[in-house]
Amino acid sequence: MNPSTLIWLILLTPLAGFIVPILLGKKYNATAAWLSIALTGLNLIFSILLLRQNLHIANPHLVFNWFILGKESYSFGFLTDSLTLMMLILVNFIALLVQIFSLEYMEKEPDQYRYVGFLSLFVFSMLGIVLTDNLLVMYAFWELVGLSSYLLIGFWYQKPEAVNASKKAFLVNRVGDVGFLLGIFLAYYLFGLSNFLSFSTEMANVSDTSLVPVAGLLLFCGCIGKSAQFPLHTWLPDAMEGPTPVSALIHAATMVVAGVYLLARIHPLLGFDESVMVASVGCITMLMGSVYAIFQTDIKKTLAYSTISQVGLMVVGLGSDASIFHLLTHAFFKAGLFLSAGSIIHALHHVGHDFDAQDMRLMGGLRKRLPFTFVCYIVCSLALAGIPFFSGFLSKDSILAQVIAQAEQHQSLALQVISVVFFIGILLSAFYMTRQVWMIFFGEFRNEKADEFAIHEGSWKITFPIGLLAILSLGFVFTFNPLNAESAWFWEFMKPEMIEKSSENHWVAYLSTALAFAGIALGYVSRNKVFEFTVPTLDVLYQKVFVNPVLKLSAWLQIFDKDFLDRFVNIFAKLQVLIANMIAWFDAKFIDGIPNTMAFFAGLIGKITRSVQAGKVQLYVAMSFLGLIALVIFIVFSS
Amino acid sequence: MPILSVLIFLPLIASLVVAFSPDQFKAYFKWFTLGVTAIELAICIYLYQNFNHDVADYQFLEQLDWITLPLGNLGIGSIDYLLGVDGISMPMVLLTGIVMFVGALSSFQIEQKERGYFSLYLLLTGSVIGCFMALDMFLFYLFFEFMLLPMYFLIGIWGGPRKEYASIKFFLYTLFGSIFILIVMIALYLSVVDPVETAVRIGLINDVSEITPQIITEVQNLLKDLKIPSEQIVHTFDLRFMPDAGNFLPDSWLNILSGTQIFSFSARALAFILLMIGFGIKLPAVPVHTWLPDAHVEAPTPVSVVLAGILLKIGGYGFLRIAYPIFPEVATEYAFVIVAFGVLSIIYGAFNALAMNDLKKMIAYSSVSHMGFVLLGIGSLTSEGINGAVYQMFSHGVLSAMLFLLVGVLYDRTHDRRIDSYQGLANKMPLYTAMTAIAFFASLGLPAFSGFIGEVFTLMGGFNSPLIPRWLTAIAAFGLVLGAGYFLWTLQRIFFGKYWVRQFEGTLEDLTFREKSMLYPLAILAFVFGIFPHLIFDLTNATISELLKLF
Repeated sequence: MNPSTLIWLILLTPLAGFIVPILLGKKYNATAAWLSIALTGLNLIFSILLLRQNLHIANPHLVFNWFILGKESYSFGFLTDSLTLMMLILVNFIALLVQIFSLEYMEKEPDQYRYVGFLSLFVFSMLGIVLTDNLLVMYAFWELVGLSSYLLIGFWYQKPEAVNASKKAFLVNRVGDVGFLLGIFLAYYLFGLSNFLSFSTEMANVSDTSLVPVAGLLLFCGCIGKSAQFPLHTWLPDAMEGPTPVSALIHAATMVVAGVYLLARIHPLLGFDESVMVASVGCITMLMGSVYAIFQTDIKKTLAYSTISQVGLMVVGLGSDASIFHLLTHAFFKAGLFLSAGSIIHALHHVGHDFDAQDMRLMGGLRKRLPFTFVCYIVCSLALAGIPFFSGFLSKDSILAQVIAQAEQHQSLALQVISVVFFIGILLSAFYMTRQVWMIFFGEFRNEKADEFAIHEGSWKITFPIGLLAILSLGFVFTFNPLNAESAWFWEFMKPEMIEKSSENHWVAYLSTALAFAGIALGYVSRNKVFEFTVPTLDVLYQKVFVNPVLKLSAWLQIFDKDFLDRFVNIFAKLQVLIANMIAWFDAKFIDGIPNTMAFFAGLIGKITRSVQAGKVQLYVAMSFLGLIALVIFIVFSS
Repeated sequence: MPILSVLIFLPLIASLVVAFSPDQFKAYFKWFTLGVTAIELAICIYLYQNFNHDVADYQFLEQLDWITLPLGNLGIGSIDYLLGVDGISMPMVLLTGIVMFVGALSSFQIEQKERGYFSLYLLLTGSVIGCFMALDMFLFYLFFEFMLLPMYFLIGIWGGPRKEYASIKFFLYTLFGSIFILIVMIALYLSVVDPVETAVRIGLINDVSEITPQIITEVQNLLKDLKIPSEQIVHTFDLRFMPDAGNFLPDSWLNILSGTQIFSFSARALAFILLMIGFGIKLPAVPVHTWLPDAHVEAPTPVSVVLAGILLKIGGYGFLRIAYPIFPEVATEYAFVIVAFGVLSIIYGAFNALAMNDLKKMIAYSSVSHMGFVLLGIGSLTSEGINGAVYQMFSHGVLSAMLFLLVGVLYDRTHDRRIDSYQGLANKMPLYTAMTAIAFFASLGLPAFSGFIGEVFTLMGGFNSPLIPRWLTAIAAFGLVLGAGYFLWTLQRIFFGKYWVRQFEGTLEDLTFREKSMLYPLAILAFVFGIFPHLIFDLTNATISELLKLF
C-alpha cells in the first residue's frame, strides 16, 4: 500500500472505533469493546507497515491542499519520520493493552460503549497530533485530545468530583492553549504557512528575528498546559477521577507527553536563553512533582505527581532525542504502574464496600494476595527509580548527560543548578516509590472492611497487559548492554546518519545509581511512617487569584449591564416620554391655548351678546326705544 | 428567470396567501410555510451551486429602473430595483435559507393565531433575504426597516411575559440605529453620481448597454472639472458605484477631496461612525447590545432562532457591504477603535454569560461575545480576518440557531429556563445531552466544528494585522478560555450529577422526531463546515481580496 493510503487508514480506523460504538449504544457494549480492540490491533499493524516502508526515507512528508485564503494556500500534510513512526506504534500499542485491560476493569459498566468510543476518539486525536506536519492542524488535534480527556475524566458524570476535574482539566489546558494559539499566529506571521520541517530552513528569511524566540515560548505554553508543567500542572492530579485505565493511557503514557513531542518539533525556534527558561520550568516541575508525590496517600495521586515530575524531566531534556527516549521508556513503565494500580483497585473493589479502594493507608501485605501484580509493580518501580538493568536508568542518564554536557559547554550556572536538582529528583523518586511499594505490598493488611482472603488476581485480560509492560521496562529491551545508554538501538532508530557518539560520563551513571539506592534506603528506613499532612497546593491560590475574581467580575459586570447600561437606555427612553409629555402639556396649554383662549373670548362675548338677545319682546321694544332716542340725540346734536 | 426576485417575492406572496386564507385551512399554514421555506432553501442551494468562485463581482444581477425623479437643480434622482449576490452576501443568503427553514420547522409549536404568525414569518423571510441581495442602498434600507415590522409583532404577540416591553425596546433600539444609516444614506445619495446614467443623459452614449470603462472615466473627468450641468447629473443609491471615489461630486460632503468638516469632524469620518453605530446596534456590539437579551428572553423559540441566526448578521453584513467599501480610509484610521470594541464585546459578553442563571440570556450574551469576533476580524483589515469574520457569521448563524432550539426543547417541557432548576439531565435525556454538548463544544471553538475556523481566523487576522497592537488580540484570545468556562460550567450544572428538576413531577421526554429533524442537520452542518472550510472560503475569497484592494 502506498504511504498516503496507509496514513488515511491509520487515522480512519480509530475514528470508526469512535463512531460505531457511539451509534451502536448500550445494547452492544461487549461488541463495541471487542471491536475497538480489533481496530486498534489493525491500526498497530498499519503503523508497523508504515514503519517498514518509511523508516529513514529521504523525504518523509506528504502534503494535501486544504483551502485557499487570500493568496495563501492552507495545506495539511503528514510526516513519517522516525519520531512520528515511533509515536504511532507507541500510542497504538499502549492503547491496545489498555483496551484489553479495560475489558475486565470496565466490564460491569452500563455505559461501556461510551467508554470505548471515547478511548478511540482519544487514539484518533493523538495519532493526528503526531502525524500532522503543521501547527494549525496540530492545534486542532490538540484540542480534540483535550476533548477526549474531558470526556473520559468526566466519564462517571454522576460524580461531582469527576465532573469538576474534567472541567478543570479542559479550562486549565485552554489557558495554555491560548498561548499556543498566539504562538501559532506568530509563527505563521514569521515563517509564512510553513510546517515543522521547514522551520530551520526558513529561519534565514525571517525579517524580524527578535520575534522568533517569542513565538517559541508562546508555543511552549501549549506544552505547559498539556504536559502539566508548572504552573499549570494542577489539573493532572484531579484528572485521576477518571477510570484507571484512562489514567494509564492518557494521563501518563501518551497525552501528557504530547507537550514533549511538541517541544521536539519546535525546538529550532528556541535559542539558548529560551532553552534555559524551558528547562527551568521543567526542573521546577520535576522537583515539585516529586515532593508532592511523597505526601500522597491515594495510590493514583502518587503516580500522578510522579508523572508530573517525570514529564518535567523530559522537558529539562528540551525534547531532544534523549527526552524522547525517556518518553518511550516512561510510557511503558508508567502505564505498567497505572495498570497495576488498576489491578489492585479492581481486586479491592470486589471484596468489600464503603471504603476508598485507592487509599494506600488501607492496603498493605498485598504481595501475598497479588503476587503477579506485585512483581510487575516492583519492576516498573525500579525502572522509574532509575536502577541499572531497568529502562528508566538508560533514559534518565541520557538526559542527565546531555544537560551536564550543555552546562559545561555554555558555562551556564542555571544549567548546573538544574543538573544538581536533577540528582535530587532521582533521589526523591526512588524514595517515594519505595515507600509506596512498602505501603501497598508489605506489612499487614490494614483494611477491616474488606475480606483479605477474598482478594485475588484478575484474569489474563488484566495480567497480560501488566506483564508485557513490565517486561518492556527491562533494560535489555533497549540495549544488549543495559549499563550503557549509548548502546541503545534507539539512537540509531532516530538518527541513522549520526554515528559519532559522545564520550560517556561514567561518574554521572555512578552518582545517579548511588542516589537511587540511597533513595530506596531512605524510603525503607521511613517505611512505617505515614506523612499525613497535606501540602497546600496551588489550587487554593488559583481559586483566590483567578477563579474567584473572574466570577466576581462577571457578577459585577452583570449588575453593571442590567443596572447601568440597560437602565441608561431605559432612562433615555423614559426621558423621551417625559419630554413628550411636557411637549404635550405645552401643546395643550399654550399652543392649543391661544386658539382656545380666543375661542373662549369669542364665546364670552357671544354669551354676553346672546343674553341681550334673549327673545323677550318687551326688552326688544325697550331697546328699540332707547336706540331711537340715541339716534334722535345723535342727529340733533350733530347738526 | 429572475431567480433572486423569486427568492424575495415567493415568501411575500405566500405571506399574502396565508393572510387571506379562510380559517378552515388553519392546520395547513405551518405545512405551507414549511414548503415555501423549503423551496427557498432549494433555491439558495441552487445559487450556491452555480455561484462562480473566481468572480469577485456581483452575480445573478437583476436591474430595473424603479423611480426616476427630475429634481431640477439637484439633478436627477434614480432609485433602482437592483439585486445581486457576491462572495459576502452568498454565505448570508445560504444561511438565511437554512435558518428560515429550520425556524419554520420549529414554528410548528405555535398554537395560537396561526394565520397571523405564519403570515408574518413569511413576510420576515422575504425582507431578510431581500436585505442580503439588495444592491441599491434605498432598496436595502427598505428591506432593513421592513424587517422590523414582522419582528415587532412576532415578539410582541407570541412572546413571553414581558413581550410588550421587549418588542418595543427591540423596535425602538433598531429604529434608532436606522436613523443614523438613513442620514448617511441621504448624504451619500447627494454625493454619488451614477456615471452610466449620466453618460446617457449628456449624450455620450445612447443606451446603458453601450457603457465601457473609458466612458466611465470620461464622465468622471467631466464631473471632476464641473463640466456637467447639475440638472443632467443622475444621483444614485447604487452600492456598486459608491466605493469609487471618482463617482463623488467634487464639492459634495462626502467626497474624499472636499474635506468637509462638521463640528470639526471630517464629514466622511462622521458618516462612517454613524454607519458603524447603526449596524453596531444590529450586531450587537457592546455597549449598544442591551436590547438583545430582552428580545431573546421574551421571543418565542423560532423567533429567537431567526433573530440570532440571521438578523444579527445584517450588522456585520452592513459593515462589509456599506461602511467599509465606501469609507476605506476612515476604516483604516479607526481600525484600533473598531477592534477595541470587538474585543470589548468578546470579553464583556463572555463575563456576562458567565453570570447568567437564565439559559436563554446566557446564550444571548454568548452571541454578543461571538459577534465580537466578527468585529475583530473585520476591523483587522486582513484577508484572514475578514474571511474569518464572514465565516464566523455563518457559523454563528448555524450554532446559535441550534443553541436556541435546544433551550426551546427544555422550555417546552418544563417552562423553566433557570440553570439552577436542573441537575443531572444526562440520566434522563441522553440524546438531548449529546446534542447540547455538541452545540456547546462547537460554540466554544472546538476544532472539527465551524466555530473553530471563525474564531481562529479572526484572531489570526487581528494578531497579524499591522494596524492593531498584538496585546489587544491577545486579550481577545482569553475570550476562548471564558467561553469554555461558561459553556462547560452550564453543561456541568444542568446535565451532570444526580437527576433533579425543580418543581416538576412528570417525566422528561427525550428529543422528539421533530426536534431531532431540526437539531441533527444543524449539528451535521456545523461539523461539515468545520472540516471543509473551503465550502465558505471559496465563496468569499475572491470578493474579499478585491475588497481589500481598496485599503
